[in-house]
Amino acid sequence: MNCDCTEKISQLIDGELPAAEAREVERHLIDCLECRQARLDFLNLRSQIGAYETSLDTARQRQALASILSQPRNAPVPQLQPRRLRFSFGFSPAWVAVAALVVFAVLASLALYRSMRQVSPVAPERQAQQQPAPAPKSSETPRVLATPETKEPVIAKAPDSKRREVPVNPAKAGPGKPNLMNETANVIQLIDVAKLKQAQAQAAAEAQVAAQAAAASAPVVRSADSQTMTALHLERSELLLRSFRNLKPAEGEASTELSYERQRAQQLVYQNMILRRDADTAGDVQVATLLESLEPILLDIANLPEDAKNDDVRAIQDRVERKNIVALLQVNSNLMAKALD
Amino acid sequence: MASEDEEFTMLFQDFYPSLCRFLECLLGGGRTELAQDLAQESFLQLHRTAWGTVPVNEARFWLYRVARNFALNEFRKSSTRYRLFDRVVEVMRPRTRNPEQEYETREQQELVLEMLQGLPEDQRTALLLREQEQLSYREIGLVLNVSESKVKTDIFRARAAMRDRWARRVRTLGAGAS
Repeated sequence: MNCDCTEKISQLIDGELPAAEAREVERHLIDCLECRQARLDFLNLRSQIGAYETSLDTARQRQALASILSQPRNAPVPQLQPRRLRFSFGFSPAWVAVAALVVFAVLASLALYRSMRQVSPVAPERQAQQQPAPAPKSSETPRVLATPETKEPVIAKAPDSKRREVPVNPAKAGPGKPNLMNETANVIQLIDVAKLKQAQAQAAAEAQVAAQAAAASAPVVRSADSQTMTALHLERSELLLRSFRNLKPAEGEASTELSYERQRAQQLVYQNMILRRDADTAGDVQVATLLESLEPILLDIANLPEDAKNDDVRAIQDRVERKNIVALLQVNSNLMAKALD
Repeated sequence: MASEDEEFTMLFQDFYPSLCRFLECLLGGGRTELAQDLAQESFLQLHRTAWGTVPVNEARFWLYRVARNFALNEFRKSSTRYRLFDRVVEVMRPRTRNPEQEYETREQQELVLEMLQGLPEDQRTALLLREQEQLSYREIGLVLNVSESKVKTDIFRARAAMRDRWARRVRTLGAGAS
């Protein structure tokens, strides 16, 4: 980084440069390849950091809010306990995970024990009881069987799981002779059924999510030129609104210098109208909605009088803030730029 | 009192997720659970001691300041505590995206976190507040209790350092591939 302007590029993309200086830096950008590259790199970093997602558990969020609201107000906050003690006795996801692991280990060892016992020779009547289910056509899909005794559908595990079908009917276990292995097998089978149901529900949910995603990304027919123009327009609007949002209104009765912002907004508002119509025609609802909410703000800035009152400027700044439009523009222009790459 | 609670609930719902994200990036190392704990403790602190005295439009800055202090305490207490249980819970968390996309996103996020961790803490905080929370230099100065010009310099240095690291990473990958 040899050019002295690189620091100003950083302020320019944050909308923190005064209007006159911003114009100067923008002119400099036309000639300076190094600064253009720096600007691109900084914007790329912004999109990488901005795209960072955290995984939030909504149940936990609700629980956290409830526990905070249940605390009395204006009371001293108790000293936080050392974090390691929090796992000693209280209920926490970590203990749930450990308990689940223990239960899983016990069940797995039971299943292993059972399969080892089945390998050893068994009495003919038990052998008859433990007939394996006929092989299914597909080894992937769980089948629904109806046992002759109960006529109720029971989901059987696919044979590649190496577990055999065990009759569910306890009458077959032999009178006065509790068959521990069969009972264990039944428990395991019930757990299998529950797991399979859970897996099916999860698969259905995933399919729904995928369908929604597919619907969201339904082919929006727009030319690459139009998309490039929109991406550029969003980026320019973002810069303008950032700079406008950070404007400090002049002290007292003096009017704020706004000629640069007004001129820029006038240029952008026409482009906005054209691109919005274009997005409408192409059925790109997301972009059309964004441009629609951007338009009145651009119009207001463009129509500000030369001696605009501070209150008028603040009113627009508040709207920009309230609608969170800068963040929306940033996300969308990044997405579009990424798609065009 | 009910309306104050409603107002607090709205603030919580608006800013709890972004506070968690901010803390997670500040702490690094995939410490999601800890980040959520500290976010909760920050809101608890606000509710118990300052709610009603801090103007609502400044509560957000207050929260980020307190959350950052909690994170600094964590750095001091133990920098390398290995949280096995957190990792177990993280591994067992159900995923809804397809695994390939999940892997790619995860990899990118880890890279971003790794690069952020290489920055000094004050630069990292300023950059996160700028890029993720969209705060202006003046607002960041309020949160960190420093001047605007320091914020400006910190953000620029953070960007320049991350840019260099990124370029080095790309060069290393290129050399590895050839």
